[in-house]
Amino acid sequence: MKHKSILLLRTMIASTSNIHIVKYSKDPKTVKNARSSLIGNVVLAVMLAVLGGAFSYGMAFVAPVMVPVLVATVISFLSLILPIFKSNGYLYEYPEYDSLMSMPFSVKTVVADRFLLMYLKDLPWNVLFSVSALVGLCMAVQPSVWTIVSWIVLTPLIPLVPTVIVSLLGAFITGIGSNFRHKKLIQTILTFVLFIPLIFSRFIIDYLIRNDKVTEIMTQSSQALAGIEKAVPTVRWFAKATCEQDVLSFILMIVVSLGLYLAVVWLVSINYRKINSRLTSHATRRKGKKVVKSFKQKTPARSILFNDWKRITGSTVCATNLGMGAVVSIIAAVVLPFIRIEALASMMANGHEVDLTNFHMVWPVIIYFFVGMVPATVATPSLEGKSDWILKSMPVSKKTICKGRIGLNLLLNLLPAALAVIGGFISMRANALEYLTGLLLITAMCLFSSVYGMQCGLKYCRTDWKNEIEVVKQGRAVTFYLLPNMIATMVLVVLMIFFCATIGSIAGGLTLAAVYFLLMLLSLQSVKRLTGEK
Amino acid sequence: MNVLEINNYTKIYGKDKKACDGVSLTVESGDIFGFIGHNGAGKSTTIRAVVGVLDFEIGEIKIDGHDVKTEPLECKKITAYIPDNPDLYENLTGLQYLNFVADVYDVSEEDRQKRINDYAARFEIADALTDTIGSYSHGMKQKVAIISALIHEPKLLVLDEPFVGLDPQASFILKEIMHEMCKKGSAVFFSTHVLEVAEKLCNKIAIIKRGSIIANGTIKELLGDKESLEEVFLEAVKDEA
Repeated sequence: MKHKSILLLRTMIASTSNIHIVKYSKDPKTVKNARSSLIGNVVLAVMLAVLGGAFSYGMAFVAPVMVPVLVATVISFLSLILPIFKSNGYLYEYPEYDSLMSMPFSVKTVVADRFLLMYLKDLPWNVLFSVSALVGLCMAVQPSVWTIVSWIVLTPLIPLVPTVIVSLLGAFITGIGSNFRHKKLIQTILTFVLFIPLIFSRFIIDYLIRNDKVTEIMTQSSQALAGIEKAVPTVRWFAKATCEQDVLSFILMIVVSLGLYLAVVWLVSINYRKINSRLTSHATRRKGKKVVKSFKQKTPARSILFNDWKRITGSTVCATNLGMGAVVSIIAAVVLPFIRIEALASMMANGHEVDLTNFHMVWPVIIYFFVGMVPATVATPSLEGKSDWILKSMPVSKKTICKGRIGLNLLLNLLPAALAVIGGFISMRANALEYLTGLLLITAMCLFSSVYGMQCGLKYCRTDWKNEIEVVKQGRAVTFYLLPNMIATMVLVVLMIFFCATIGSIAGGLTLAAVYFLLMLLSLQSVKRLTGEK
Repeated sequence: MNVLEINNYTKIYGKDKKACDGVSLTVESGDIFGFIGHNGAGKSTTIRAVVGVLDFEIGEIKIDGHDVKTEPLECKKITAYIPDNPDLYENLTGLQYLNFVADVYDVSEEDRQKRINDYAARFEIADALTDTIGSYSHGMKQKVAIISALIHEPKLLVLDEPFVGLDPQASFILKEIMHEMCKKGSAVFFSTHVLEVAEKLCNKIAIIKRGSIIANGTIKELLGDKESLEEVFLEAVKDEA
């Protein structure tokens, strides 16, 4: 059975690997795409290694014992957040489910291998970050041989527990959702309910450590890490095993991680087939349904907008990844008018007084960080998948299709973002001019995000995917959009603070709005080129 | 009047792999044109180029006088296509999908209501139209794809293996619809492996082998003194081997 499991896992890895495509595919376009992805990954890997090494090297001079805590925390946190949006796609409703289950594999083997596939896909990044941090540590201080060996042995286990927990939660959500007629909607709502507390987990941990005397002896900068070390057992075990040469922690980490993995595989296997059957059957269709037949005519662009809306909201993976910014914005818009944003900022700054009077215009940029993270336009061209023949064979111009898709993204992002800006400004008691500037700024930013997303979506469109995760999380279009946009937004937050402190909030906001509007126009030219429109 | 003209259509994959080589044929108004050949002979490659899904470099394809390359939208406005495996938008209901197609082809509310109700009743799928396409069987998807193709009354209906997955009753209705369309002056161009169907249904046939047309003409011309299309097909393929 073990041999079969390895065979299956090896086959699944090969079938989703870019190296495999480059080696065996005869289609030049596919090979070119895979090669570009590999090059992009190598660049990312170098950046990650440098980042991990530099952080560790710098920290090792101040508090070397905090380096393993930092490494384990970063890996654990990412392994907790990232699989939330993809565990369902890896474990349930994947295209090859029927053929896999018809083969002589036990349910446990399939579950274990699907889980390991997800885990192994992210493992190289985690190992790279951890090992480069170890190298940074070795360069700064002289750790013992035990530290080095235990670090290397335990590194692959750091992401195992968080990934297992999230997969179990994902299975739980899918299991509940599969009982309903609107399975996807229920799954999406439950995922968001789970995700929102995780966004604020850092503040929960902050709150925990503020109530503990351990923090008194910690330096200000390492308070959060100390809290996490206390709160998360695997982080604590990793730190103790590597730094304090604690054999018990070393053994505990191995035994608990593997034990939990086996337990979750067993748990998920119990109802695995039943849940998958429910997800693909008509069993939950309502009885005595009310037939509403509408024949209302819409423009092609509006019709495409509606179709893409249904496409995104009809998939938990798409809705959670592409709608996350909108949900965060709506929550901000609803909550902020009732609380003082200064009080919130003060809480985040460990109780220090924060005066935001001159920095109101930073708020729209923060909101943009969420809504502009992954626009729908970046994924919708590729999400057509095997249905791409429909639009290709229809008398609809690429310009009209883009119009519909940009319209949907503005509806998804600009509307909630504008409400969040208003909510934030009510909380900060901004003046009328600031409202106008803030709304202008967020409009310019969302316009840019939609159009630049469209540019990347068209340029790196890939319809031959097997699982939509490949499009919304791992696709080249998303990577080429996400990285520059995220780095630029972080820089812009700093720039905006600088503007607010120097030329003033309004002037700063108008300057940034003009820059984004200009960038949008440049991007629009590329979109026109890509669609062949003049 | 020529509804579809294919002249010297050649599709090359990679550097020199010819999927189709110099394909030429003509479909006239009122024709039911059958396109037959082995698996991988080039039927789908030709069909996908006709409907504008596949680009090509050599040759010319005209629909009702409009060039597929230079006037793609004009061609698509009067064409409808049903692929062999209709991957539709699974998150839409059948009705939402049909409305989507009607919107794109600018079909008025009255016309779409009449046609959807009519075809849905004929294919006995009216009750399922408010369910999402994701819950449909292959045959039901095929029926929705057929209705969507007929919703704008195309001049040219292009179908790739249309009878695969359809129940006998639906196959019969589809054949009936094909005849009705041709009576109104439209034309039907479809590929099939089922030679008996082609022989009974079509007035013209083309046989394609390894990307080239090896026989083309009316059923009478092709049959000559042979007893069946199967005999013609097997002989033609054998002769060229």
